[in-house]
Amino acid sequence: MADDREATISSLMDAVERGDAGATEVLFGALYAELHRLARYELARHGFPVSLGATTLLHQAYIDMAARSDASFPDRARFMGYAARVMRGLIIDHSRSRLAQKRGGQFEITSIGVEVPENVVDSEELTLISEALDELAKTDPSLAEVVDLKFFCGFSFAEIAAMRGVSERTVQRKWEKARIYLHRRISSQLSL
Amino acid sequence: MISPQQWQEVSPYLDQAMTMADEERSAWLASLRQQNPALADLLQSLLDEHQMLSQDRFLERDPVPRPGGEALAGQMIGAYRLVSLIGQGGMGSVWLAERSDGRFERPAAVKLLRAPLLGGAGGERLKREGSILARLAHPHIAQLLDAGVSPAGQPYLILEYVEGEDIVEHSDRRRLGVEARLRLYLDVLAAVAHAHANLIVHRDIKPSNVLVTRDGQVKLLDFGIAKLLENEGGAAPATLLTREGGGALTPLYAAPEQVTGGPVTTATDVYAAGVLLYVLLTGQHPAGPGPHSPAELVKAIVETDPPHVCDVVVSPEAATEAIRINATHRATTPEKLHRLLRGDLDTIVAKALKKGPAERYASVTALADDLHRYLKHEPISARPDTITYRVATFVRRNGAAVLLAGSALVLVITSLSAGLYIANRERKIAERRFLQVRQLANKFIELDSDIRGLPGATKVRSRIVADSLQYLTSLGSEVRGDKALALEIALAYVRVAHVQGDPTAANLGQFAEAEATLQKAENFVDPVLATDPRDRQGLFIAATIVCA
Repeated sequence: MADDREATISSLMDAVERGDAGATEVLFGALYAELHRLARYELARHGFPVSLGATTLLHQAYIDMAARSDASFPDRARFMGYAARVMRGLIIDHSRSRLAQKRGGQFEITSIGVEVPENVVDSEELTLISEALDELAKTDPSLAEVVDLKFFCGFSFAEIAAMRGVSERTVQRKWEKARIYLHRRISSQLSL
Repeated sequence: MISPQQWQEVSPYLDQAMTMADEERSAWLASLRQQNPALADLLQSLLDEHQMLSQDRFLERDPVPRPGGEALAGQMIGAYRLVSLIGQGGMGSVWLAERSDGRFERPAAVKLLRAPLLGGAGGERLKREGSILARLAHPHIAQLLDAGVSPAGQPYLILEYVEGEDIVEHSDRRRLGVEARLRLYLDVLAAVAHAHANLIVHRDIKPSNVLVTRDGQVKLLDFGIAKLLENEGGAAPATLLTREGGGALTPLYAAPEQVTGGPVTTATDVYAAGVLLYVLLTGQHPAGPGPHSPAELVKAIVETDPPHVCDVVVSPEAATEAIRINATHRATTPEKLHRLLRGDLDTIVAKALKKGPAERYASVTALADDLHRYLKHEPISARPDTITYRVATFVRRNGAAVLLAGSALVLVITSLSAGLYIANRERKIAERRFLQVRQLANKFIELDSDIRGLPGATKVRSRIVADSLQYLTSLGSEVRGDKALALEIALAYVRVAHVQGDPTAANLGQFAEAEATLQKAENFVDPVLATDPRDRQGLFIAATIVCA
């Protein structure tokens, strides 16, 4: 069963890269289910509310899925490109339901970084960012991907640069450009 | 708002503008305005927006809260009050803290460990081993001040707070030449030697654990802490491969024995110190330019002899730009650096990086002695690799490969039909198959490390164990006096026993079964030792059985 699912994910990625629009939705659905399952599993394993780093979860998902699959499973960098976008959805859903879930065995998905934390972006703003990102992905997919990897999943510039085989400066410039675009798109709808 | 068409038009100009200094940019914008005023206006407004959003910290806040990131400031841990969060990683969070009773002026760093890392009796052990580490006092070692579990159940470590940058960054930024780098590095070795004299192995020497303070003092962080954390958290290789501290997901500085699950000793620190020296001297990692997947890295660590330090600083394989920058960081040219590293330094680094622990420098002090000799232009103790030496080590390395094949054997079995060997009683065919197993084995080492400690691994490992035992039983009938095969089988049994019930690693809890498996291993070693009581490999396996 599991093997079938992984084979599907691998061939779905191929289909998406060939330009099969229908495959995109199926692929993201499958990845969403997998990430969600893993987050739930971690929760059950610890038996109490745990904090999961988004990057940890993604790396674990990769190891988990690649180990169950054959050699044709996509490499880590390629996998992260799709999974990060799915993670965005998971995080937004989580952000929306966080208040509703306050008691009981909830799990927390968190970003990991080295900066001192401040307050958190509210779910309304996250939704606007996400919509603007989907637009950006149509004209400039590599910019949108940097935002998914950095903002939503907590990867560092260095990690993203290594994944994409480009310099850190390039990643940083893409990030700044994406911020400008997103800010321009949504600032009128936000009371910043 | 901005339309996709507008964005596509302005995007390349934005790239250009962002790489310019302020003055250059305004002149450039002015000339652009003459050709295309609308575009220049849009560009200007986007650049203004960039200024503004940086002040707003747009997208710099977190989408969701960080673990433990809220509300901990001001809390008391031991005698310290948490002041501000310094960093976060897979192991937990690090806080800047100050002493609450005002007894000490100096701030401390408090590490709050993720609770699942230390379950059950972990707290007691943390306190006990922490007190041993706390006795380690050396000017180049960041002191562990306290370790324990707070009344709220939060395990913590309190360390001397060190403000500095890592030794590689420091050396590059200051453009330190080879000799200045070696002098700094010798301070690192002095600290490690002091710890070894106190029977403490660092286990995790890497640039981010070797800081240089503003006044040029070397400080080693996290001495012995890797061990403190790993026994409770699972097997060592799994921890190394999956740990997230500082984004390090791969064991860039791990020694072969850490990757293959061998015993970790002071020789392990010699190896990691060797990697550090390699990076300090060349600006490159012995495994070559990254990024490396864990599998590639494991293969490089276990199998591949790193390229000579003198060669990688001029090698045409790497980008010439990087080669030139690396030389500039060392206040020299690639050619001069090549000549400087050729000979003694090359020999010294190669000796520290030997795959077999016994082939490395016997201690970090021996490594330091050779570096001192080099600096004083005296002959060094290490001998360069000659052809005969290489042949001799190849044989020894093959011994290690046999050991490795054993560890991976258990994983190979599922992909091979167990009946394969029974059906084929022909010696030659069995031998050929056996070689295939070894080749396949290398591919599966990565899998073993990856699945251990992961969700669902137990079931898979149980199945692998069962299949392996069945396979080994049938293979056992093939031995007929073949010493090498007998020993290989014995080793495989030892590995299976580890998976079944090694109390120091993630195991299946089948302790009685593990005992029986070890007995089987012994049955294969004993006849070999009976005919040749001095057979080194046989003795080694026998010793492994006793220790297991």
